[in-house]
Amino acid sequence: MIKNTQTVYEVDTLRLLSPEKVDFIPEDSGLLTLKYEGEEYNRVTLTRLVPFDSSDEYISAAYKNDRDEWKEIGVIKDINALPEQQKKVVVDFLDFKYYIPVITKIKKITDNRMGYLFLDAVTTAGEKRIAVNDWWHNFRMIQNKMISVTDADGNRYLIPEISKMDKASIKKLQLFI
Amino acid sequence: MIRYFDRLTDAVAIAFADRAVDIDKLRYCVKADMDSEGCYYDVYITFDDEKLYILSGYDRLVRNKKTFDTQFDFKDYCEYDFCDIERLFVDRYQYTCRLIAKMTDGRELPIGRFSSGFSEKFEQFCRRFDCIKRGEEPDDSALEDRHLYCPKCQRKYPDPNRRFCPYCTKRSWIFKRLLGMFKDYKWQMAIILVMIGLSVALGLVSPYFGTKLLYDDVLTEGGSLYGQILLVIIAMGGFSLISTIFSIAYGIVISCIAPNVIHKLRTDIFTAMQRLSLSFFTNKQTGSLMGRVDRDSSDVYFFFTDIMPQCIANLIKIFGLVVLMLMVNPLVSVCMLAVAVIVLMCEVIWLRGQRRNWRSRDIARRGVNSVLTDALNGHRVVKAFARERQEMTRFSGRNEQLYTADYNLGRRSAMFFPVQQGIYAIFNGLIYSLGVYLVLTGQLQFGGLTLLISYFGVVWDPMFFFMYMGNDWTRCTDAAGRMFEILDSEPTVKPPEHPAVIPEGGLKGDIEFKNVTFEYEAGRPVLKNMSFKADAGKFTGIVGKTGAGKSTMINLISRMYDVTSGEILIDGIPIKKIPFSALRESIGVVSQETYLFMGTIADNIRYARPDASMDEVIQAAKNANAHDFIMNLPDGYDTITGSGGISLSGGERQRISIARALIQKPNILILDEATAAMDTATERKIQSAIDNLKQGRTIIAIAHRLSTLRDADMLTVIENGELKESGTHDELIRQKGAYFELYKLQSMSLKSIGIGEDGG
Repeated sequence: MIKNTQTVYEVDTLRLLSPEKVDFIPEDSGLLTLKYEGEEYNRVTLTRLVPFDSSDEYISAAYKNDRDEWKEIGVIKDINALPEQQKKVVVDFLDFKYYIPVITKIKKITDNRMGYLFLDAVTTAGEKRIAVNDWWHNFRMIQNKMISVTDADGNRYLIPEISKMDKASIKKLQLFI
Repeated sequence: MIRYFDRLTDAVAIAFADRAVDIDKLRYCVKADMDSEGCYYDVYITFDDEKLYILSGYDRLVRNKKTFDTQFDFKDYCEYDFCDIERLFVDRYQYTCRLIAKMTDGRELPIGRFSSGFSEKFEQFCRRFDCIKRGEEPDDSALEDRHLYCPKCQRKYPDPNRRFCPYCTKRSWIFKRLLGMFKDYKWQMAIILVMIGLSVALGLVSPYFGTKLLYDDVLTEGGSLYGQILLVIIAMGGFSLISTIFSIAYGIVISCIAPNVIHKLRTDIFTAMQRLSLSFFTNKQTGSLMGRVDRDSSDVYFFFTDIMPQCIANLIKIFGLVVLMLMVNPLVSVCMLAVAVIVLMCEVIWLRGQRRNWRSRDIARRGVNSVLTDALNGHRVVKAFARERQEMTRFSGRNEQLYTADYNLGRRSAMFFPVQQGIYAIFNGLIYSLGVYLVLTGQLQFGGLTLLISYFGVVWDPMFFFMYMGNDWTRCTDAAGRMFEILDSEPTVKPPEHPAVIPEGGLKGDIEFKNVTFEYEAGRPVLKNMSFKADAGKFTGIVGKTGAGKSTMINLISRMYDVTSGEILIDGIPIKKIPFSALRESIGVVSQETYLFMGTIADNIRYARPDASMDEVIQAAKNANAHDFIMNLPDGYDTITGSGGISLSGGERQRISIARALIQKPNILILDEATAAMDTATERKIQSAIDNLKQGRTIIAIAHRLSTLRDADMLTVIENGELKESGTHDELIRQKGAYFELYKLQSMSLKSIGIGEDGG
């Protein structure tokens, strides 16, 4: 009875994981196993809670329970506080999970005047002609410094810092930001 | 033969054939766009009935006049036997995914990596692979009406419900299509053209009388018309008058035709919107759709009534002017035209930079508007948290950007125009000097010079018109393109081609879900292989946590969406074969979101059955427990609701919406949290009204408050899109399963706040 009462009224609180106690082990599935304070969690995923503002801070660790629901184990406040080997596991996982082609240079932007913009861009994944429908909504300025671009297929690209691009690219972009 | 999802280009087909793959036996194909490191790469993954084939390399599209040729730079190839693969699945990350083959020996092999926008086709590919591996034939009926590829450039259509390729469609296509809408008025259009031509020609001849003819022939002694001033005045006046009459006439004809075309276009768009499925509206912002019907049609109207005639007139004018000027004196004319071109070139250069400023201004203006909308719509929250100052700062920031953009625009104009005027004045002076010299040396008559000067003043208008016409043309084709987007969109839920015959009296309401899976987004099933039955004439309650899939079931029963796999039957008839009219007449839905249209309360109640008598309206309102509050409104049933009308509370709106469903007298009544916004007493009253309606009617109700459903003949518990258990209240309580847990939790919550809950 008491247990049920607790289920109803238990308020979820932020549980910060102690960096020195976490032990992440990569699984073959691509997910992680986490050993923490005597408990072992399998199929653990990490999520950046503040992916744009501070990608190294507030990393949530969650596992899938029997009901196929993600349950949060806790939050790592700063991955730089983790031991070196643990930090590498976490960074590798996050880099793979959050991999996004970064636009480094814009060669040309063409407006076909039928609702589509074509960006001939150089990205970290290679050169690409990106078709953007409804640029007003799919060119998202984040924190006045980065741009998230969503193309007509729903794929995402990122410009992490506009000011670091070459002048010619910035000039072309300025018409849309 | 491959029909879905990606096509093999000729070059890729050859590469597969070179590796002894029988292309004709391949079933489905998908193309991944990345290598394992996340670099762009083309990986073709396909299978026949025995093997999975993977070919990697780089596609190249080479334009060959009007068509595109493909090339493929081969990098890697491998194949796997079906018997070695247990299943294929998509492993999702934040912005990319991986296709994984789970091997029979337990290993998980990454087959390809791709951008997350392609996940839907990969999910469908996996499903078909598993199906064929099980020896079953996949059901592709849901894919048949989708337009996947542009036949011209072979690229994927961004929207499979619309045959529109942004890559190779030319802008002129829209204009041609718009012009096509005028084809019913071709004679009127021909008359307009003739009238424009005549009006411009007469307008051009008119200055000739006031300058060359007047000075050289009438005022000059010995001239052919010496002293006949009245004749010149009559000729000038007459030509101007006739030109004006033609101009007025073609204006009238155009303003008669264009509104007809725009009216038709607007009606077509609205009709097309009504035809489209719910998914179209959930993917678009209502504001932008409203803008399409309203603003876009105005832009098109303006172009055809104003810009088009001016364009034709200016075209004739500029051609006529050049010819006439050259006839008077080629040297001075060429100089004048050269000056015009130089001045225009300066303006073109200025304009190019200024467009950037306009665009910045437009973006800044939108920014100001969005902050304004945000702050005004959320004024309650702003005031509640006393964040006025914060909002003012936010607005100031945006307003500052707009100020800067305005300032840049104005400063650039202020700097440019005096320079341009100066250049013009210098060149003008030089040309006049040349003219005077020619007159003094007898190479040009005085009247000829004044005529040229007069024409030089006129030549600017058409030149500037064409320079600035681009913006109007863009606005018109943009607007038309957006309108055609709606016209060309096809509903995702289509009416049956061969509808079943529905017996008189409509559907009874035996509802059956057979292994139904449904996904709003590929790979994220909301309902998972669900089978469930609701008997006709019975009250079925659906219970579950938020997000369990209850409302989705309701959407599927009323066929707002089609199932991803499986089948729904009503009275044994597949839902896809039931005509929309029969389905909608038989099903009445009261949903969580209530919407009242502009009109009286009575009109809103009789929305589904406009022929309902006032007796029936009042009866329905009484049944829905709405009569009492309607009676207390000053205008009773004539109270205007909706935009600009009286504002009703959530519970009052909900009751009107229940009355609206009741008056339809549907055989199947669906209540989706219909009483959620009401207090317990009102809920009880409506509950008893619903109980009265139970006779001979199928009722399906979703409610969070389990007490609402306690009298249901059958309760179905849904959890994570799966059917967990079903039975009567007492049976489920005895089972002590998921329903029992939910019931216990609710009872305890009520007890803790001092409200007892009996039963159980």
